[in-house]
Amino acid sequence: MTNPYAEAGPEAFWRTAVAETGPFALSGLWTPKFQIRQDHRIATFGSCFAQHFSRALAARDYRWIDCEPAPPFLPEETCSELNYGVFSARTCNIYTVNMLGQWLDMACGVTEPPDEVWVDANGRFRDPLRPLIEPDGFDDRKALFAARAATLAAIRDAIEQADVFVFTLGLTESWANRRTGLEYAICPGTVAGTFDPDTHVFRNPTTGMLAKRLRRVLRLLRQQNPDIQVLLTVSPVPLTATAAQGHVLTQTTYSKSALRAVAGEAANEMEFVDYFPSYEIITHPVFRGMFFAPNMRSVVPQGIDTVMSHFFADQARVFGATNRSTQQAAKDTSATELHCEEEMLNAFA
Amino acid sequence: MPSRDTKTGVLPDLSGRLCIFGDSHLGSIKTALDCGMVGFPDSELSYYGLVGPQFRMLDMHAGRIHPRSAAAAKAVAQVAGAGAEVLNPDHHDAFLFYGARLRSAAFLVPFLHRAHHPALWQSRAALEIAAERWLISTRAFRFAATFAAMGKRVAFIPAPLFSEGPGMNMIGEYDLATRGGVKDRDVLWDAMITRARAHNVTLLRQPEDTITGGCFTKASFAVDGMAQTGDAGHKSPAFAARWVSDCGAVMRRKAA
Repeated sequence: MTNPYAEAGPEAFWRTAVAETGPFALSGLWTPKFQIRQDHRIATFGSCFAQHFSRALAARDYRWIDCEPAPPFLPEETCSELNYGVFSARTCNIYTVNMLGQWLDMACGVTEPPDEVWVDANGRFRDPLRPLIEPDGFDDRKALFAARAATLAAIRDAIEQADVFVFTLGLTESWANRRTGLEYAICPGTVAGTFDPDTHVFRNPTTGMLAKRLRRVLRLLRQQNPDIQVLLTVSPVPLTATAAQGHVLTQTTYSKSALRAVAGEAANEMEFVDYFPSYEIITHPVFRGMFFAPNMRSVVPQGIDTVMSHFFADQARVFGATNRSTQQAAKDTSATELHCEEEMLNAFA
Repeated sequence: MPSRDTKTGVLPDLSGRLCIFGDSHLGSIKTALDCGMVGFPDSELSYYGLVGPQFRMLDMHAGRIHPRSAAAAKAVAQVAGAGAEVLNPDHHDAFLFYGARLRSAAFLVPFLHRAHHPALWQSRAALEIAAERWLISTRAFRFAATFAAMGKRVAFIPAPLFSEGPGMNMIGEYDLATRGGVKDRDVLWDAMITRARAHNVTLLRQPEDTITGGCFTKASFAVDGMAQTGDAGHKSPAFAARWVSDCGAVMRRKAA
């Protein structure tokens, strides 16, 4: 061996792997550490991009778990408005590592859920952990806390049941309560709550802080479920706005770079953690921005399809193709139906 | 005679030409009426319906209900009498829908289960949306709402909860429904009744003291022979008499 590159495969070289291949023939972008089969129970949480992941898995008959299902009879559009069936529990989007840690800590009994609630202009109650979970807010504090307790129980179920826990990291920036440390899902005063500069503080952690928090979260998951495997992804969706000093474009780069770095580090360090490069597939210059809508923020459906096709292709490349499971639900024939004729005839004969 | 269950609700004025509309549950109320267990003394009674599995063979055109096939017409004639296969609401002043494929268990059992599941919660608004969808997804309720919109007086007594015993096999995955209590049922019936009222239909609640085990009807109200047939759905004429009389109007008139 003259040098370490001499025996490297074509995927290791830009010319053969990218330049001569083009965006639509790229392959082998991901070498998964563990197999994700259709019979594996998969929990998904994270930023808005994670929603695409759960839909794609469900559409391909993968066993995505919904631990907080919608009530029966609700129309699909209402389920969506009420955030049922979006993630494995009704958390709404979890954008930051710290926010995931908060949810898991509460669900696992490490910390107590906060008492803080927001009251909107209509006198409706909002959960600062997920202000938009009920579009019209809650009737009262009791309902808000009952709903949150259900979600915490669902998160516990998801962790305990899941074979694979997929988390999409979205942002580094967040707002928190200066006194209690509670991190909010959104900045107070934007879509809910009231902003108070004496109470609310902006946070944008360093890469080192993020890495430390992520490791703690991953260890907690593994403590709760020693068999769980974690798949990390980074959302390619840019920041809507930044509160850091600087341009939203450069702050997006900081945020995504930090998240990408800590996700990769975690995957390198922990055998039960893997990183899937959905971020690169959407954002890399080789794709020339083709997967973004004209606002250069929203991801178009072709982008999602491309991401998921890489996901399934690389799983198949490493572990072989999987067969779709088809389960026919048994149908009960009720004794009630069988006896209808008799009942009617008895009275009207 | 047991005292009236105030939670059951009150029948609207059903005097005049009253049509009792239903599925196989009609058998129990007709027998109760024929035997004099209850009565509608101010009403001129008629019946209309089909056994449940054939219900989809009833269609509404221009506000009238038609059997879709000759076989369905023949079956309707058995209930309504020859020549009355088409139900014209103009020929009636009031309607009492009885059973008629509106199965209270279909709504109550999953929501009673949810009420006792730590990870399942829904808002009152979501519950009412679900109740609305459940009601309007039932063909007979749509008939009832249409008649009410025509100015008819309309009451609806849904099919009751499954009978204890064989009914245990009917609740499927909703095992926590067996922990259902009166307060849980209060919330659910309130949502159902509220949504029915929005359609000017009076929905009557199953008497609480006929319920046992969280989500079942007491076996003493089951149809004869339940132990042999496993029929957890149908109930006895005494049960029908009990529910109708609990709704007040019948007994109040008798008392007067």
